[in-house]
Amino acid sequence: MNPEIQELLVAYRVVRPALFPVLPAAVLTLFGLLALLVDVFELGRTRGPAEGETGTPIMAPYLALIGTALALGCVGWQAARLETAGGPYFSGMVVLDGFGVFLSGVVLAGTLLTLLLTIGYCRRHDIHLAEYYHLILMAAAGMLIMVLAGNLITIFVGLELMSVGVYVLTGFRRTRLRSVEGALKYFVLGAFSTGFFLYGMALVYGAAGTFDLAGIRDAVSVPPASPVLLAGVALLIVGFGFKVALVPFHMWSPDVYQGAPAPVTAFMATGVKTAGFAAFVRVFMSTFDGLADQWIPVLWALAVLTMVVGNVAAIRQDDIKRMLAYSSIAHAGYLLVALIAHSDIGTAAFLYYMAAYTLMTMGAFGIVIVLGEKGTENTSIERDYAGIAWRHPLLAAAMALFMFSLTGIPPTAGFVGKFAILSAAVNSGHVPLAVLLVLTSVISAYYYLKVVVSMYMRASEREPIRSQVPAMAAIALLIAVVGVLGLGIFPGQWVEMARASVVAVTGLP
Amino acid sequence: MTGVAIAFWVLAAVAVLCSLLVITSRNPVASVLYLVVTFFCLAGLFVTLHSHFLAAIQVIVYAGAIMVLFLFVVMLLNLGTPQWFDVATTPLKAVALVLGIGFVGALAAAGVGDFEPSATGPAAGVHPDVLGSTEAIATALYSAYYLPFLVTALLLLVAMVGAVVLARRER
Repeated sequence: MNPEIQELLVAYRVVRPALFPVLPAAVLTLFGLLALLVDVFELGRTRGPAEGETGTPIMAPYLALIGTALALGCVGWQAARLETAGGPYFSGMVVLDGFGVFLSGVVLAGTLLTLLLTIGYCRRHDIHLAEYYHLILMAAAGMLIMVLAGNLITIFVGLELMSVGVYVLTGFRRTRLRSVEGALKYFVLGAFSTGFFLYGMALVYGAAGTFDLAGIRDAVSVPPASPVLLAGVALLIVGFGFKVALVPFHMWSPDVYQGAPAPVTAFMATGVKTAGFAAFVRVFMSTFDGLADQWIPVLWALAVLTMVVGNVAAIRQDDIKRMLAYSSIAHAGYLLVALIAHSDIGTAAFLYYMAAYTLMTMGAFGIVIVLGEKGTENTSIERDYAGIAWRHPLLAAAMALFMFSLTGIPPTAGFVGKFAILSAAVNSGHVPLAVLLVLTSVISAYYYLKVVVSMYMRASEREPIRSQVPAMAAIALLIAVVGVLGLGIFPGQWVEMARASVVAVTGLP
Repeated sequence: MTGVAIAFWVLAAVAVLCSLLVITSRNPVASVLYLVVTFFCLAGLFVTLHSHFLAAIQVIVYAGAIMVLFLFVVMLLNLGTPQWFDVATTPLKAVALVLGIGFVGALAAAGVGDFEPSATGPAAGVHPDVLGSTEAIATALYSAYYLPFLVTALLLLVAMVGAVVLARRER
């Protein structure tokens, strides 16, 4: 054999183990590039016309589905080999641990459901561009990088990869004014918040002398904390707060959620939030652990504001995408409570809630997507959802289930998740926060049940929605229903898995 | 005051002044030109920090390539009419001003301006001539920072695909 090839093989054998933690992201990237290339070479009549014309079938969606399923398989492999293969890779740039692998699974499950729901949607709304699927896969790869990141630099590049993809996806239907408005708002405000995040990173670097999360932890563990470090932490809170839509950094989210194509909104509400919170929790639970006395009061105030404003503002909404946007703000508040609990129980509750939240939000958006018609998305709760139960009994029943789960009514996943967060908060002595969580959940019952009331108890005054549920979307909805009920009725093993994932966190103390 | 300190204060003052002019001047072409000056000042600041490579990149890529593109776009779109950029004076502006000044005040109170850099950073103990050299940056990029470097490449691809998608012609 040629000695040069042999040298390359030797080099590959050295590098190969290091690729293990980024394998799912690499698979997503590979299939994302394939989707683009297949489109360029027009294999299988892939090139579709622009928006607004009838299209030909394209291969990209199926490539995207296969890629995501393979990536999910890789995550399963990582979970199985966690005992032996866990630890830092790429000089600490990524850390393979239970926390990251669990959330990788959640992100990829959300991506898979998005793709299943998106195919019928794209056909109905004449979006026939392979770039759509490419951008979804690349954004998902960015999320996986963020979830596993062990360095502020990795968090930042993952965040940007995810954000740029989602900015473009938001404005994908660029003949729609709302879509363009949402994209512009998201982009400008996102760039602004990136400035805060970078400045925070710079100040933390100045104080600690490194970007490595473990290195920063060692550097800041000696009190007293320097004011520069605290300023950096505060700016990082602003940056993360924007990405996960905490009040008062939430102003963009209703407009963006309403303007984006419905599957992209679902992707944003689940994937972006999961990845943002993953990095948020990792940085604050492990790196800034020693500063907990300083950041807990700040996050406490943010959680109170987020829960109250999110839930109260959701009451007045008639557009279901807007209502779900405020609802996702409120849920960010609940997740923040799990972080404030600042304990292993809290982190386990966070993991469980993230999985439950992804399933129920995906399910709710799934119903919104399949109820859309050609050219219109039918998003008015009063007008379009009235009397749905008589024409589409199964869809209405599923929607009711997701609404109950989002409210937190047993026997759904939402109930167990809220219960876990509540017990973590009470365990750490944050009783007022727990009481507020229950009170705001009661408020949320009003607007979630409004949808159910509209579906079951109102007569429809418009011409009936003619909606055929595509097979793929039916599968996605079935997964969401089974997941929400499964996590709710048999929570034992899932809660156990979340606990085990926290213990297996090598990046956390 | 040493020469480096004088250079810093002059460059910093011009950079801040010009970036203020970027956002306040009514004429977009003037804005872009002020931005070029700001970039040159930043390049100068990089030189005082021994980052010669970064300084060169700053001039070639930002002040050179990107700003020329900006000028092209501004002139092609003929954005010379200033009323485009008139934003009504609202109470929110006053609030924003107060909050902005408060933010700068808080940072100053935190001592951002005059704190000692950490002694444990990678810069500690490295000879200044080696620190910002092309070789040092390449070594860092292709060893410790290899993964972020790769992801940045993907980021550029996604940005390009996104630009093509958003700018495509309707058929």
